[in-house]
Amino acid sequence: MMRRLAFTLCAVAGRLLPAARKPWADAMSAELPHVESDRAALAYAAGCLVAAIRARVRDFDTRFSAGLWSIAVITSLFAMIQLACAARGIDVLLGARDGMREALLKDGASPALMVSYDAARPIVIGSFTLLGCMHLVAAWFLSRAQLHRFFIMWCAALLVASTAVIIQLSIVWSVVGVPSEFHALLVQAVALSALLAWSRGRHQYSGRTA
Amino acid sequence: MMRQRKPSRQTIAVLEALLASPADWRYGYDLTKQIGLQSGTLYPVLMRLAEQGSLESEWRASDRPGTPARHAYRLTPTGLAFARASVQAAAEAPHGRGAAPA
Repeated sequence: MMRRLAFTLCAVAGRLLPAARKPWADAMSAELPHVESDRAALAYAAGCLVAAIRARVRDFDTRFSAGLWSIAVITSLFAMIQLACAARGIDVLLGARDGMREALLKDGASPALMVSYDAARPIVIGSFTLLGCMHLVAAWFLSRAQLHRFFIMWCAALLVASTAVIIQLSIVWSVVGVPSEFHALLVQAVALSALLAWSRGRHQYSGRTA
Repeated sequence: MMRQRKPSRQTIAVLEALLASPADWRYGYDLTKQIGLQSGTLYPVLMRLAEQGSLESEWRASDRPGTPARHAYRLTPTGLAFARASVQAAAEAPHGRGAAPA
């Protein structure tokens, strides 16, 4: 039983090892029949698993993929927030209370302003829906490491976000901080640039030391 | 050839074991027993030594019938020079054998 578990652990270690080090999995497994006791075989196999995990964690491709996945997850969260905003807007269209509208009325907004505000609401809802969907697609491209497609989606999302913000600002001129439409785009731009710069640095370092 | 950092204590121990009989092929499990290192420590050292060109390996038929061929290791000429220099440097170091991790 323990010997079988040891072989299983070695097989898992083989699956965990980065592609460049796969031949080492066979080297580790081939030693198992030569380990005298079952307990020692299990300890040996556990060590092999630790070695494989360490190799995987230090692997450049794994780290790069983990970086892309992290940005993809954060992008998905922003997408969810934007889709939730759109859903809230639809709720208002269907008769729910609109806090922003009430605030404008309280501040003495003109009837013309309120007409523009109401007219722009479907456009803003559409923009948030579109942005949410675009960010979900962008997250998918990131998770597949399709950076070219991600960049096209990022540019399209920037265009939609800019249009939405321009429409909003043409109705209510109020800029406090970065509009929420740009939050995900900013995070993606900064995080991906940092990841690519790190990747480039690693390649140059490898080139120098090879 | 990869840039070589100051070898760790574990790397020095592996190099010493391989230096003891440089012409002989050595096996992973036998090295763990001889040095007293866990396989989780030994294999990363062997991988690094192989990647920097200090270690050569080949599959050798097992002396035990019915068991698969074993992966055997020994130092390359470059590895021999590196091992001798590293072991000597570690012996001359003020705090004993090796210091920084490899």
